[in-house]
Amino acid sequence: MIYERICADELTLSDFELSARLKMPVGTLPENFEECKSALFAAAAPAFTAERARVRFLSDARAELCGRVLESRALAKALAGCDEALFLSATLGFGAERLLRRYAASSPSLHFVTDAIADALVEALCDAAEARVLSAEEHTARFSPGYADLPLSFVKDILEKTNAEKLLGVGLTDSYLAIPTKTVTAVIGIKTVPKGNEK
Amino acid sequence: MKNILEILGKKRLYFDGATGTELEKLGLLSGETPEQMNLRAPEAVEALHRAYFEAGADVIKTNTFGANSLKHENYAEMIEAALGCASRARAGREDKFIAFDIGPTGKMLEPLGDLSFEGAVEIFAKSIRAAEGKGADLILIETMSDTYETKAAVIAAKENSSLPIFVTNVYDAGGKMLTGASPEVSAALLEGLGVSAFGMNCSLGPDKMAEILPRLADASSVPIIVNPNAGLPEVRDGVLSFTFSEEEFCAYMKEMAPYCAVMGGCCGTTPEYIRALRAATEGIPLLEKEEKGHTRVTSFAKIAEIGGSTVIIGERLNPTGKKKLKEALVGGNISYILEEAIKQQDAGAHVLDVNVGLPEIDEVEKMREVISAVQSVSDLPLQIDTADPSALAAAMRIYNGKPLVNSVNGSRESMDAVFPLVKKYGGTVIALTLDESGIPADADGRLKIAHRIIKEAGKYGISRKDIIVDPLALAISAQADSATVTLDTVRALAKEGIHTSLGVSNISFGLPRREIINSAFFAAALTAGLNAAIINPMSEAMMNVYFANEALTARDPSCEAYVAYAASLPEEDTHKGAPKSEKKSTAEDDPTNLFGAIVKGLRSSAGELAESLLKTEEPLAVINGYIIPALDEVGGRFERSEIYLPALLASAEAAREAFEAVKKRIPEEKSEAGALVLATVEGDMHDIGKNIVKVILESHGFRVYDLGRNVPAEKILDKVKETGARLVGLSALMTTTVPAMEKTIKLLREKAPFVKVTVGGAVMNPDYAKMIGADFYSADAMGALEVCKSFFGK
Repeated sequence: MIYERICADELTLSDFELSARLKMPVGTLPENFEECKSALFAAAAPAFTAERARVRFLSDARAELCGRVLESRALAKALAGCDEALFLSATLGFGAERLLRRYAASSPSLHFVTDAIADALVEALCDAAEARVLSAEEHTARFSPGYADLPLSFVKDILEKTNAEKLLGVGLTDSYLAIPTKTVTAVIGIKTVPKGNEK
Repeated sequence: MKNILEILGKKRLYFDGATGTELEKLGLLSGETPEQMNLRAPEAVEALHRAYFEAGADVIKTNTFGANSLKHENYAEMIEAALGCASRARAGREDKFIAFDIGPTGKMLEPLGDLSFEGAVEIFAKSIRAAEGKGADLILIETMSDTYETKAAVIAAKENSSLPIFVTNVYDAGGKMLTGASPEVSAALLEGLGVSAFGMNCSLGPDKMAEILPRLADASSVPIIVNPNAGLPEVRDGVLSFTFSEEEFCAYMKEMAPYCAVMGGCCGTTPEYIRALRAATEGIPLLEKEEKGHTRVTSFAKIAEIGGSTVIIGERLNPTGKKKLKEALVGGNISYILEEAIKQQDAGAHVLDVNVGLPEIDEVEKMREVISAVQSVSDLPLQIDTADPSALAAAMRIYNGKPLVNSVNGSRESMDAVFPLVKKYGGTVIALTLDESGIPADADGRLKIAHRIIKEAGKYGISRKDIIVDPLALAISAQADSATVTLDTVRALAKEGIHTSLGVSNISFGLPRREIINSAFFAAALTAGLNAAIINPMSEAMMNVYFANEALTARDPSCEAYVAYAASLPEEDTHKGAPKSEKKSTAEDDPTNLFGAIVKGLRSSAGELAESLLKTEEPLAVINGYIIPALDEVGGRFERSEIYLPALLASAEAAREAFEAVKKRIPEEKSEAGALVLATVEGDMHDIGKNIVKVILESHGFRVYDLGRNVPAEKILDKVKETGARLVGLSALMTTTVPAMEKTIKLLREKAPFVKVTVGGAVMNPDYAKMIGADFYSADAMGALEVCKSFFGK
């Protein structure tokens, strides 16, 4: 089990991610960007937990992960060639959640921009987690419950596997939404060939 | 059998260590939860308890951490089996104790999550009832990372058992709980709730807990529990282990021992650790706890301490004399209430008064709703202000923190109603110096009542530090010496070390330009020793007095707060009156006219400029001559991709502010473009898209009844019936919540066939919208605006 907190200032926001979330061209930023960013960075407590597990392929549309057999063609395809997977839960924490609630009630423009930065920040957190945990290994892209045919209910298994309730305080609603809402759960396939040795 | 309370605090008690990791060694199966072993392999659980007793533990925790109705249907059976294991292990050890162990539910409580507070109380209550009378000596609520859930568990324990309650929360290395509480915040809350002992467990090793311990020890006189992990977890050769050996663990525990009435371990601590711990610390004397004199009220994250810097209690959430707030309370316009809360916090309030008392509303229900909503957007402690004991009880129960309670008075009826609630839920109480005979005319009479209230509170175990006396400011227009009497009483109370608070503005009732009197009286009361004041924090005159007083009394020693405040004020040459407005100029981005302020998205300027224009122009002329043309200009720029959504939203907010100013001058129906009910459907917590639609519509003069997120179909129907709105807007972001949208539309078709429904959200498209029976669909906020314009013929 890996658990780590990373200061928001150490994370690098992707221009492309920001552009997509802000719905603005790459390189342009709204006037209130710095105000929103500094409030968010002060409130957020980015942290992640990760745990490795074996992957068993039962067919091209079924794989066993966390002791659960998943009927997902997309996941089976995404993890093809992997014996192991990394389960990742990453969150910005409750301070960020409360800041977003506050802006939602007081200013839609601050809310929109801060929410967009928070989305980019949690993605940056996942990138950093991947880099720290899997730097020496070849791995697939992150695959999250709800993508394609991977059921959203698999969020619960990832949170349990990574002990996210206890370590990160992440809870789940009846409709499988993780709280704090700026939380990402994902599976990353780990290839057996070490980085550098691949063809 | 001994009572653990007879020993607690006199002699150090020792808890056991880890349960889950130890049960893994004793045969926990893959996919099995530890508590399932109570039924499958009770002998293993019993053996673990016995091992801990033999290692020197005085108290063992039952294997019931996750045994609740949310996680296990057969929770009651598991609990009974667990207590059986513990009792058999304890047999013949009369000086040993069993703690019935309760862990978190795993769900987030509302308003952040979807488990109601009462739902959480009931889950804990079921487990506690299942354990009652089966051999436990105390209840241990442990590994809590959210103070609100802790409070739910403590209330369930108080209501369903007479056993002593111990609590341990989880802190991170920075000394915060995951939902934001510091050691001081959780200490104030738990002391208020009357638990027997509290402290920390899990997550950290003893090294980090040693850094947090002094803060807990200084915060309260309640005995402290420390149950750390054996350091941080790490995998060595494929086996989970922890960083500290028994010796390293004990080295830190020895440092903490003088302050800890109870010590033990959590993850990674085996019976060997507990044996070593007892041997290392048993000879270290336990420091006697002193009474701490902190008068603290808290939210879930912030403290307001009465007795140091003056505490500003924001008075704006009280409908007396506030027409708009009255309308918002009656009409269920929570957004307005929340905006008022945030404005007061931004203006410098330390506590927010919440009063929803109006004859036409159900005060109990409204109090619950408003308290919960305000706590979802503000982390300030709240002052619960009501004369209705049932509303007070409802609010104190669901309040997340230790509240300020306004108020009790010297009458028997009031004290009998309020003090039992403070005893049960915790709180600091404002005590008004009046009784059955009215308000004494002199300071002596008021002091006598204050003393009587403090004495009566003591009978309930409520400390004098949790009583703040309000010696009552009465209108000088009705009684000339009223200010003098009040100030004399403040002075006398301060001399006795009794904290005071005043509703300052009452002094000027009936007089013109009230701020002049209010600010002068406020300054005099501060000089007399006033500790807290209920004022309007948005009043510059009052805040001038506050910041100046802080600087003059060395509470702001480097004048830092004063300098920051002064810098936040408008420039001296322009701050007299609102900015001057010009006629619509040709300079479209000139922010000194209303048109330009809206185009530039300057919210506060737009409001002030609209107010200024309305002095010379008709309201409809302001709408048609400035607001609408500015919005058209912004809309055009957005269409041409000259500006983007953030700028569009800023302009919409500015236009909404201007509209608000106009609405004050004319009947609503003349300014209103149409009304609709808007909501994110049940199960969905995403509301950013819905909020964008809302501000765009409001900026164009539509009235939006915003029900928020996660809204059940029935509530939407009720609002339609109540308001007569002809259009409903529904939003959903998650595929899992689209069925809730369909259900809502079906219900509306059946019970309110006159209403039309427009839908939107990330998972929607025109075909899907048609399939679930919606009348209209829009892909974005500007599309929603077009739907509304066309529907209402604007």
